[in-house]
Amino acid sequence: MTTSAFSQAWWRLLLWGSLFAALQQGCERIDPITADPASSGDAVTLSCESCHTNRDYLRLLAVEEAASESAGGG
Amino acid sequence: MAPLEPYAKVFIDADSYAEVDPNHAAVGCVTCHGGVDQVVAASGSRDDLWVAMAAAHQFEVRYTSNGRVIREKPTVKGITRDPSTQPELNCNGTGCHAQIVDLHATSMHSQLWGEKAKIALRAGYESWEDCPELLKEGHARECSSCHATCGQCHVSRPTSVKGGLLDSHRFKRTPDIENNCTACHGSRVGNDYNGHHEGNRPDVHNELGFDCFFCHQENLHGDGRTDYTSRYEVEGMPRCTNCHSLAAEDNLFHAYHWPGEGSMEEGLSCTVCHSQPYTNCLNCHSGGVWNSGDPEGYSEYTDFRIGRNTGAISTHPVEHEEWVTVRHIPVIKDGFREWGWPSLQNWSSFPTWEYSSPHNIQRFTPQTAVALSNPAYSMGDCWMSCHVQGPHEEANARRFLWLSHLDSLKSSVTGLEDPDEYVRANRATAVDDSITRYWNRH
Repeated sequence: MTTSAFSQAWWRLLLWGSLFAALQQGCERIDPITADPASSGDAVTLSCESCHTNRDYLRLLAVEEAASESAGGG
Repeated sequence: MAPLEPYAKVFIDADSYAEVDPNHAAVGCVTCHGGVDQVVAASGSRDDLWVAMAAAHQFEVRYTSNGRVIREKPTVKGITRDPSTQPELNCNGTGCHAQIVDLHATSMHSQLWGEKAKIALRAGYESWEDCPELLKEGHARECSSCHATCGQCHVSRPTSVKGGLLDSHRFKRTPDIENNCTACHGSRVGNDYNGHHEGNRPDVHNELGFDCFFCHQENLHGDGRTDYTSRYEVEGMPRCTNCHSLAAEDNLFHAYHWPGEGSMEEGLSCTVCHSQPYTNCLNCHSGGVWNSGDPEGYSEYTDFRIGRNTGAISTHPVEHEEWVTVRHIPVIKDGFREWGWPSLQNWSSFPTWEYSSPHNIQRFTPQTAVALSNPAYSMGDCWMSCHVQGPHEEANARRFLWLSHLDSLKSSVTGLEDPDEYVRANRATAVDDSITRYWNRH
């Protein structure tokens, strides 16, 4: 491999690597509340209502419970 | 019933709560639930929102060693999930629901008087009041803790099925049948009423579109009485005759079997002829054993048994019902050992086969299939589908509670030093000694 070819491969690797890292970071930040102003990075004041009427916030914050079924006792 | 998704349990499907329920919205969330209404999130990232939620719900945030928020269900919160666990504060804070709150404090739904009375008697005490704190605490911890608060009937699903708002936190005057009534009363009433047992049809009243409240017009908020020993004592409990008052002489079978004055025989409860096989329970579901699938532990099974109405405290107060459908109930001698109560001293003083009211009524059932039109039978053979005689004797016998059946079950009942104690406890309910000669023509 010539020096030029090596340099080209190196730059390609760097470019794709940076793109992948940026995508990964971006996805974490915008998903799943892309449409909400709160995702802009600015501070936002929240009331009980503003969270509990926002399905995306609730999904984002929900803590999974162990799923189980019950038919009730009586 | 399957639990709701975690987010759906607390989601209000509107732009504001005032759109859903303006009266309760005017009270304000934090007035009932506590917490902080206005908090600031540094950004819309998940971690910042979590920190803001912790400020609103007043719990402590935990972090990983590299500073990331740990999302976990907090064990202690400053907010109250169900404010109606303190109804005198939160449902009657300004006198809004004074009368109902007052009655509910002593209601059957709130106090489970029948269960308490029975536990006391089986433990060897005259009343629940006389019971030691150990039993009371165990009952409060495991039996009462998930029992109907105001909110668990009118706002959310009950705790027993892991909660979740019914309708965007709208306070519903009438509870929802599926999400409230049968969420608790599911194993027996719900499964029966909806025809979930293999081979059964739903209850005819269900097929006609009747909800629980069509029959249950008693005051479900209570009446102030605190000395109930059975739910059957509640004034205004449904009676078949509330509607079917003129059926006593409808046909020959009613003329023979109808309970009460003028009957040609000892009376049957309506369910003896008109119910389908129903849920029975074996052993006990205390100590966290609930549908464990453990064959040695608690289990549910479908059966139909006609037994004697013993007249004991646990039975129906209706007079003249000598023959009734009986259900095996989940109580064993050492069922409360997890509470620190190793044995119910007086366990065998009461039957574990109790009077039952299966909620799966049909006009025509296997018991009523008398085939009068079948030329093989004459009018005098109308007993063919039920009485223990004739060509169907063996099949018909399986509808009754015999000592031999108790004997076959005794080895499956756990916690007994002497398995015959199980037979002794239920001897009076078994039909061997009392089945009439008309029914048993051996």
